[in-house]
Amino acid sequence: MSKTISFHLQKGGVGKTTISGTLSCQSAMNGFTTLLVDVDPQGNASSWFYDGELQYELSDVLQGKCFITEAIVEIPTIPNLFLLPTFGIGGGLKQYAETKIADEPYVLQDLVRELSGSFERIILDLSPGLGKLERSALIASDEIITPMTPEVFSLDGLEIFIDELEKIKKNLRSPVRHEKIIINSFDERIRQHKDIYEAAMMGSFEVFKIPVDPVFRKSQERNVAPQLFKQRGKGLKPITLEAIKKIDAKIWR
Amino acid sequence: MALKKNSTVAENEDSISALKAKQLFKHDSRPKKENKVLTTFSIEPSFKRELEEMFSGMGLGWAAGIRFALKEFSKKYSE
Repeated sequence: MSKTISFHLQKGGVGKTTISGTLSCQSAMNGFTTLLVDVDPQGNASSWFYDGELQYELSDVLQGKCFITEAIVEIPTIPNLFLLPTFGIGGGLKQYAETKIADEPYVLQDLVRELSGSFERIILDLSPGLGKLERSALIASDEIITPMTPEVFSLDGLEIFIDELEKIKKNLRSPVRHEKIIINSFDERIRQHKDIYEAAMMGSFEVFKIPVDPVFRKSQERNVAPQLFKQRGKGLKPITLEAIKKIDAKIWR
Repeated sequence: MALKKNSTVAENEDSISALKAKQLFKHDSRPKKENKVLTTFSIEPSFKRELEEMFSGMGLGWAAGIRFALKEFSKKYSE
């Protein structure tokens, strides 16, 4: 049975793409056929994992310009990981989102349904914001997990997102679940981070944390999975790897 | 005279972030997840193997598979 997850908060800079990409890699490394769908018109997830030229992208599939199989690419360095890309330059997703998706809000839901026969796990990487494209992706998911950074603007963002998501679920008749949050770039030496984590643990969300780790940024610069990145023999901190494995073990249930 | 840090105030006061976080997560009115209870039952080994294979194909372990199956059963017959 396939499961689709979106990592979303409308606020930028909380680690949506980093977490989507990292957990896609973790899932694939554990042997599950995993598809990362780049629903961000900027195409950062695509350029992170694929360093080459491609003919088709997500917006071509959505507009019937090619078959799904023509647009999906296998990531050669990570067995079981596949990408449905978006071109940051010369791509059509932004224009599609501005002009056409309003008439077909369930287009991504239909796409996911079709893909779920071929992939065990699907991750949708979204851009910041809560426009029609993001709404369409959210209701195409079985579960939304919110990444946030431990600071006050993320808390504001989460408050807004909880409120907006209720409306989206009601208006678009969606049963999508929102029960987990990931506190990203967590630094246990900072009191503000600990305070926010402790407060979150008191609520009804299942709370995870990912420690601050420079390897995420470095791995993106080098187009590799964070788990495979090594510089002078050093990669992700053991505590970071442990956190990623813990999240992976919980989210696909 | 040098200015002395008032450490008591600094350590006991909640930061703005902490106050905001407490308020946000406190107002989150959704029901908390129940703790699970342990339950046991016996089953024929061949049937257990059959179920384990089926659950494994769905990416589920034994306990998760049983919970999923019971939830589906409950959904189907409770209406």
